[in-house]
Amino acid sequence: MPHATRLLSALMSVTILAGCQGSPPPSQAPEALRGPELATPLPKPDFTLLTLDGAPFDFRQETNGDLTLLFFGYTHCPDVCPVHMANLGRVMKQLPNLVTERIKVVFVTTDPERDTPERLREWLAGFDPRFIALTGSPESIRLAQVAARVQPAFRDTTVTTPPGEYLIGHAAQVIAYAPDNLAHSMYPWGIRQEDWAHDLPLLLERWPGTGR
Amino acid sequence: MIRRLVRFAAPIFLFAACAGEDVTPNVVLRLTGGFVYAPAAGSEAAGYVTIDNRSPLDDTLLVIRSPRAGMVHLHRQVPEGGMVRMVPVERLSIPPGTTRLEPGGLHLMLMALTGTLSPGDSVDLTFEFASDGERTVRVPVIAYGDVPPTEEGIP
Repeated sequence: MPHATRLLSALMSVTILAGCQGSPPPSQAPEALRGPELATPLPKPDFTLLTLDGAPFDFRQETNGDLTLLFFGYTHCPDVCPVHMANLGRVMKQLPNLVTERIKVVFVTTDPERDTPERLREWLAGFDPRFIALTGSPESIRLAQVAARVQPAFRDTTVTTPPGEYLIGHAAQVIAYAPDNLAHSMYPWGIRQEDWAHDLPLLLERWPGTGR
Repeated sequence: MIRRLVRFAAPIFLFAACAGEDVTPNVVLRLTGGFVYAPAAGSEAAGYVTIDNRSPLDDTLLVIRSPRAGMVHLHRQVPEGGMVRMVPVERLSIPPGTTRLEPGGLHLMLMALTGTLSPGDSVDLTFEFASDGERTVRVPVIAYGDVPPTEEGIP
């Protein structure tokens, strides 16, 4: 089906060209993303959190010019968080190095109390050892979510759970900042590996930025 | 190849688990497409199954057990304005038709695991229903990012 669509659009552009001899070639509409495109791109948030080694990580500076995929989640999350990360991990293994070396995947824990650096390291390494995990104080993590314009995760006290356990409400989308340091799309829960494989190279191509 | 194998193997497991129960005259619930995700970091594992209620009456899922877990909880994830909130479910009503436990919706949480769960393993899950009694299914353990045996949902 994508082949047919591509073929059709190729044919259409030939037809258009044929009909416009002598006039300048029309500017082709860019290929559409599979992820929902934002009407107004979002700026990259300015926050500094900690790597698992305890070193400060200035998000804007460290990811400047890279296609940056930002997700807020937690390791006790049953499926939304690990499925997002696993899907990205699978796609990173399929894409050529020329593409993946320009991509940074950043996972920020919203549960710093239970997500120790050791646990985060184990959890994330299973998906892709290149992924970056960030942690920090609950307040700095909350502010990072506000800066990224997602609703901050919260510990859900409206439900009863066994002692020592708690449930977390959290944002379910991955924010994709293109190399121009703007988010043009947010990827909600339900996005598939084939969608990522389609969109990641396209994000690099459509918004190449000015280089690092 | 492995995926195909898992997909192929799942119905056999389910058949094997159900075969012994076909002697029950009033079996009206059918459990299919189950799987458990191998935990990404040790402590607990999420599981899923599809329940077909072929009777005209509601049933209720009361308890879930597994020899591989100290306890099994049932949670529902509720989307709320771009967020997901989790709600524990004490008893799950099973109306006539299909009730799906699937990623992003209802899930089992296998807690206090008795050992490691790796892709390729299988896990017995026992469901106790108010009317239809106990039903045990053997489901495959798959990795996050694998296609579930139902061939539906994520990825």
